[in-house]
Amino acid sequence: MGGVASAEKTPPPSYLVLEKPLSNTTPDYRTGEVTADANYGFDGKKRKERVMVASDAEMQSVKVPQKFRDFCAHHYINFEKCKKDKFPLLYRCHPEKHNLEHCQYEDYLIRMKEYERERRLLHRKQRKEAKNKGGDEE
Amino acid sequence: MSLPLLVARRISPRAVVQHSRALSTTSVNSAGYWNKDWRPTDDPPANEEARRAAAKKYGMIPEDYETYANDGTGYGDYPKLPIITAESKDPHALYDFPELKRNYGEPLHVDADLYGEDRWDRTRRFVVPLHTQALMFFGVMGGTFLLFCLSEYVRIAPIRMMPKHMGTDGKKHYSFELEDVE
Repeated sequence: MGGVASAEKTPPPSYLVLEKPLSNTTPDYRTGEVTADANYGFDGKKRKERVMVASDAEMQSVKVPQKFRDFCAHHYINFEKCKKDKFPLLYRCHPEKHNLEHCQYEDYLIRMKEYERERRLLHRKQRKEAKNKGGDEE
Repeated sequence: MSLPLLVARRISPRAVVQHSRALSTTSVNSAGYWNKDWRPTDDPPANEEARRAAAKKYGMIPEDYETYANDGTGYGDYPKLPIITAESKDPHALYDFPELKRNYGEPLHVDADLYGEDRWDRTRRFVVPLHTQALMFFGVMGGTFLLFCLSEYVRIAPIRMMPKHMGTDGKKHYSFELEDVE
């Protein structure tokens, strides 16, 4: 975590996708690249950086599936542990399950918000460019 | 129709004739009294005399009597009969065994158990012909399967969210909560 990421753009898939190419104002949902600064437009305040609670070693020892190695991984591990401890009476793991699902839900919201933010910023950029072109060029 | 008349029709002369015929054929058709007596021989009849005897054994006239080829199927002198499924027999005829549409002493086809009313009707005609039925079935099932296969590769609606923030992709991710200002 925290290393400088070389945002490697994944090549477009070779199979057929009947889909319009991304317009100038459509965020790239494939790579998730954000053009603006993460804290831009928050009145000088800073957004909290998401922290990974479960360590890599922990996730490896629990054998967390690749798709669960997100910011909810510690909830996943808790849930798995609970299931193992209370095996036949799995209903007792309901709180753990709820925590995991709630975390996933919040994650989903963040992804949608991130998309919308990027989309609006791209529109704003386009508006500004059109205005600059029409008016006197500085 | 009055009741006496109904009773009279029930025991009609024809029924009586049928019944007496069935009784009378007992001694004529009987080629034996025990299962082994009815068992077909191992080989088809060799000469004309044996052929006539075999035809009599199965209650048939020699002109109609015909055997299966002696090719190892083991039918022996059992008669080769045309396939007439019970479903295509006259439903109004008077049979000795109406449930089976069969008369007493009537020779049975080798595969008679396949041709009962509860099995197969050879002369059946469908409202929708079979090839159309097959076309309809494979059209619907195949079409659905094709859509299923295509759905793996064709996306119609765009995805309106960013890819999942993974802890392992080495990027920095931010939530929308704000840090407390000191």
